[in-house]
Parts: sequence; structure tokens; C-alpha cells
Amino acid sequence: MARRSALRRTYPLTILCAALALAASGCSGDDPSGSEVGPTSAGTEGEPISIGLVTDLSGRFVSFGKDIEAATNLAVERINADGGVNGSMLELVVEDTGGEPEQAVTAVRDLAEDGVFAISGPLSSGEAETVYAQAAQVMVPIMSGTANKDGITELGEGWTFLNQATNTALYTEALPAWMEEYGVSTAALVYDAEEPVSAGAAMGAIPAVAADVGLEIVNADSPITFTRGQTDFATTVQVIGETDADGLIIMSAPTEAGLIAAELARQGETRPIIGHPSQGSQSFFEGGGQEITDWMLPLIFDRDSTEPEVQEFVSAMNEVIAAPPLVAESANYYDSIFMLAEVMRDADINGSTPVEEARETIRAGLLDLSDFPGVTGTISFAGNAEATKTIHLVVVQNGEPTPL
Amino acid sequence: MTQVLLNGVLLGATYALLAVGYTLVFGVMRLLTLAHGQIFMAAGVVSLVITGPGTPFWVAGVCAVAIGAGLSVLTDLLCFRPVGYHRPIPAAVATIGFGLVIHNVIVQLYGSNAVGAPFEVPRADFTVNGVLVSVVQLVSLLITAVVMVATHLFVNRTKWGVAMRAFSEDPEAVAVLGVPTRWLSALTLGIAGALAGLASFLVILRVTSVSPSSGLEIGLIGLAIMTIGGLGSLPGAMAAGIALGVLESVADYRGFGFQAAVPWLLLVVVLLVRPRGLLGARTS
Repeated sequence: MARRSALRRTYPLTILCAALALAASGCSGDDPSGSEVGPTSAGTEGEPISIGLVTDLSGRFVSFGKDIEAATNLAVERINADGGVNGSMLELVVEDTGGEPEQAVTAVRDLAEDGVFAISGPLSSGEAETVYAQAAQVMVPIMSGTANKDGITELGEGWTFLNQATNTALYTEALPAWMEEYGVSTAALVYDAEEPVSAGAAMGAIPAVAADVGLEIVNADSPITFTRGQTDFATTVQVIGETDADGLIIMSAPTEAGLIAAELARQGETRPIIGHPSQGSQSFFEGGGQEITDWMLPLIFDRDSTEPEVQEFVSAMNEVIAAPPLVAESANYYDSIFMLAEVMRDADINGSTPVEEARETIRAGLLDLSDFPGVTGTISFAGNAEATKTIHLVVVQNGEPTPL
Repeated sequence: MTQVLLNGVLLGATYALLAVGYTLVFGVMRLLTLAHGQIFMAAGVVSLVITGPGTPFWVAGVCAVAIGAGLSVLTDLLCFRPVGYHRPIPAAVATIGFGLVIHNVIVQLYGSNAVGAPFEVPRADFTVNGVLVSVVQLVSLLITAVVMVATHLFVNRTKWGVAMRAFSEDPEAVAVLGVPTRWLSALTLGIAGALAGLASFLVILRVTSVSPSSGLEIGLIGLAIMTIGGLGSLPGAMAAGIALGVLESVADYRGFGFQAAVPWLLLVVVLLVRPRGLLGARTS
């Protein structure tokens, strides 16, 4: 009897603890489906148009995901404030993936069943690779503004798009500029072997583009690797210091890149570096601080542009995000919603349009879209599922990014 | 190679400090606290958030130690006591849940980006025979050594330490003798959490930032070190931590490409050759 009462005392607390864990990890939401509905119609007569957003609102990249959600909400609010699309307001349905590809697939399927006309997301190339492979089955246009692995749109059989420059596009422009700026003809390759975006770029696009532009990678046969979550880079940087190259190519997530920058400075390393666009975020600058010098980044958004639309976007975002500077890629998601709105306006789609017809028309319309003026610059698909984007090259000196 | 070995010792010292916390809890209470890595992370993040620019860096250290101790005592109150000290598996599972709660609360409050130190850490590196030595690292190593020796002496030479060891042997007899066992468990977890907070602060001194995603990774490494050193053996945890740091550093230098697997390879080898760990006691 005593044992039974002890069990009665303890199990509820264990269950409570587990429930708290699940709740905090984002498995539960405000409604039973786990979706959140964002800005919606206000005082309109037409049926709303549902747009899905699939992003990371929990897990390792939650700060990215929250900025992306804020930018998407901002775009929807502005479009609705201007009267919506052909008399229909936009309604945003947000799904959290937690950074897990399987959860992203479930989210996309849920949104498809809910009747969304198009989906923006997911965040990472790893998630996109899994989701895009399912896109032809659910037959919803899906457009990521962050994934940039080469060739992944082919998995979607015409239903998937990238509103982001691929690694090949980025480095075809960035590597020659870096070589010219710093007189680099040889480079050592360093990358995070456990991080899919970095490893994908380091093993795929970088060697191929380097060969095309005449950059010799001195350690192509045995690049220097480290692992995600590593906090001590003393020995890694020691190995880097022993390479005989003019410059360094460092492919890693922002946190590790910041720590490497600090350690490079500590060990007196002064060679120029070219990094990955994901390094243009707070974690990189927090980790590296003023020690980041001669570090070039190819970015798809110039936060410091004097264009009024860009300044207005940055100003509006800084009011709603938790920790400026905003994630550059959030601008892609802002543009994505405006692109979808333009395609729907041109095709006379509104909330009453049958879902299948709307999806097919949006898909065709996106493929035809060209010279769209976004806050990230001019965007064109022009028959290709991978957008042609304006690439902004910046050099970080003493922790401050400045345009090249 | 001297530089590589020094890098390894310095890295291993941090590992050891974290693993001593695990070992203390397991050695005294025969329980695993799997929230320890997240406590390490949370102590670092919160201490940096609440200390503003201009604050002396040691204030962050005091905060990290206090936060680590507080969260660890909460592990006792929320996981071990309700589940029962005699039920190690449910208790360990409850700490996984508590660790998840800590991680997600931190991420929801402060985001997933790394948090940088708002204060200046005095940097004074020097070179001895071509080996680059950081004063911050040396001080960290010294603090680690002092704390580990103090912990060892506390457990073996003080009244409370004797009570802790007695508790690990026969908790009911200790209770019958009038020792306040609830305070004893809270003290044990408090010390373990304080060590995690200190380890986090020493890492911050070295790299000037902490990432909310670092808890799981480093927590698992601490768990591996405890097992390699011998469950419940404080000297074993210290030795295993240093050994692992050196091995990781050598693997990194040699470009083997499997640094992340080193703790687990070492664990497998040790368990095959010496199942009770490097300095673990033989059990019946």
C-alpha cells in the first residue's frame, strides 16, 4: 500500500516534467494541430488566401526562424494593409519544424491538407532536401529563402523553388572578387564536417568553382575539418597555421566561425578569409567580436543599403525582432511573400479560386517571374526554379562589415 | 607537438571540471543527472545576459557558479525527490526532461544565437620556446586544479564529505543516525552545479561567448568522461578528462577527422579493457 501511494505521488510529477519538456520543445502549440495563424483578414468580404510558412521556431536555429517569421508576418500585414490580393486578404499559417527534416515533411503535408496555396520555407538545406522530395506528391509550390544547396529544386519536379542564391552562384561571383581584392591564388579549405550546409559547400560547390576560376586549393585531398559544437579551436587553428596558402576558405555555421576568428587572431593569423553567407549573423559577430578581420562574406542582403525600401524594412524589423542585427535571409522571406502576391494578382487568383487551380497557376507564374524588385535586389526565375539574386560582397574589418 | 599537448591539457581541464560534477552526484547518490550539460550552458548564458557592459568579468563568474548551483539543486527538488532516490532510471529520465526544459526556456528567452561576453577579458599571451601560452588558460588550469583538489579533500576529509560517502553506502543508516539527508543531496547537487557553472565561466573566459546549443554536446562528453574514469571516482574523472582533452587535440592535429568520436572510441576501449573504468572501484 505504501508503495502504491508512493507511485501515486511520483508518477504525476514525472508526467508533469515530461509534459513541460514537450511543451517547451515546441511540440505543442496554440491549437491542436500545432499551427499558428498569423496576420489575417480584417473587414474584408472575400475568402482569405492561406499561405504556409514552415520554419524553425524551436531547436538550434530558432533565432533564424523567429526573424523569418517576423519578416513574413510583416510582408503579409503590408499586403493586407494595401487591400490584399484581388479582394482577398492573406492568411499566414505557421508550422514549426524544430529543425528536423521529418517534422518539416509532416508540417508540409498538414499545410497541404489545410488548403494553403503556397508554402514559404523550410529553413535549412537538410530540411529542404527532404521536403522537396515530397513536393510532387502534395503538389503545392514550396519556396525556401534560406536553403542553398545546388540542385535540390530538381527533387521537386517543378513544384519547388529557391529564393536564395545557390552555393555555386554565390562563389562564382565571390571567389574571383576575393582573389582580386587580396591577390590570392592559393587557399586552404577548412569546414565543419558535421554541418550539412558547410560540408555541402566545401565538398561540392567550392572545389568546382575554385577549379573554374583558377584558385588552387592546397589541401583539396585532405581539408581541415572540425565538428559542430566544438568550442576549443586552438589545435585546429594551429593546423591551419601550418598550411602554405595565400588565403583561407572557412565553411561553417556562425557560432563556430566566430570562435575560429577569435582563435585565429590569438595565434596571430592574418591571411584573408572567405566565409559562408550564414556567417553574416549575430552568433558570428558575438563569437569573433573585433577580432574578425579581412573576412569576406557573400551575402544576399545589404542591411546598410541606402535604398528607402531596404531602410524601411530594416527599421520595421528592428522593432519586432529580439536581437538585431536581423538575419539577412529573413529579407528573402519578405520578398517571397510579395512575389507570391504579385503572381496571384497577375493571374486573378483570390480566396475563391479552387485550391488545385491556384497552386498550379502560382507554380507557373513563379517560373515566369523576372526582374522582381525586392528588398534583396532584383530577383528572376525566368524558367529556372533557382532564383537569380543580387549578391552583396562585404568584408568584415575589426568586427564591422563594410561593402567591398 | 608540445603546443598540441598543452592545448589538450587545457581543454581536458574543462572537461574534467564538468565530469567531476557528474561523478560527485553518481558517487554519492548513485544517480545520473542528465541535465548537467544544460545547466553548464544555462549558467553561462544567463550570467552573460545579466552582467552588462562595464561589469568586472569576475562578477559573471560568481553569477555562473550561483546559477549552476541553483539549477542543480532544482534538479534534486523537481526530479530526484519526487521520483525517489532509490529509482535511478526514472530519476535519470526525469533529469532529461528537466534538461530539455532548461534548454528550451533559454532558447525562448534569449534566442539560439551565441551570447557574447559584455565585458573585456584581459588577454596576455606569451611564447615559451615556440609554444603559445595564454594567461587566461593558465589561470583557468590553476583554478581547475585547485577546485578539483578542494572537492577531493572536501569529500574525503570533512564531516559533510564523510556523510556524503556514508550516504552513498547506506542512505537509510545515515538517515537513522540523524544526518539531514535532504540537505545532503541538495549540497551534493549544489556543488556539482557550481562546478558546471565554474566550467562554463572558464570556457567563456577562453572563447568570450557561449552558445545555447552547447549543452547537449558537452553534457554527453562529461558523461563519457565519468564512465571512462570509473563511475563515482573523482580522481578517475580528473584523469579521464585530461586524457580525453589530449587525445582530442592530437586527433585534431593529425587530421584524423573524427575528433567528435574520440570520447566514444575511448569509452569503448576502456570498457573492453577495464570495465570498471580507469580508477573505478571493483564492484560485486
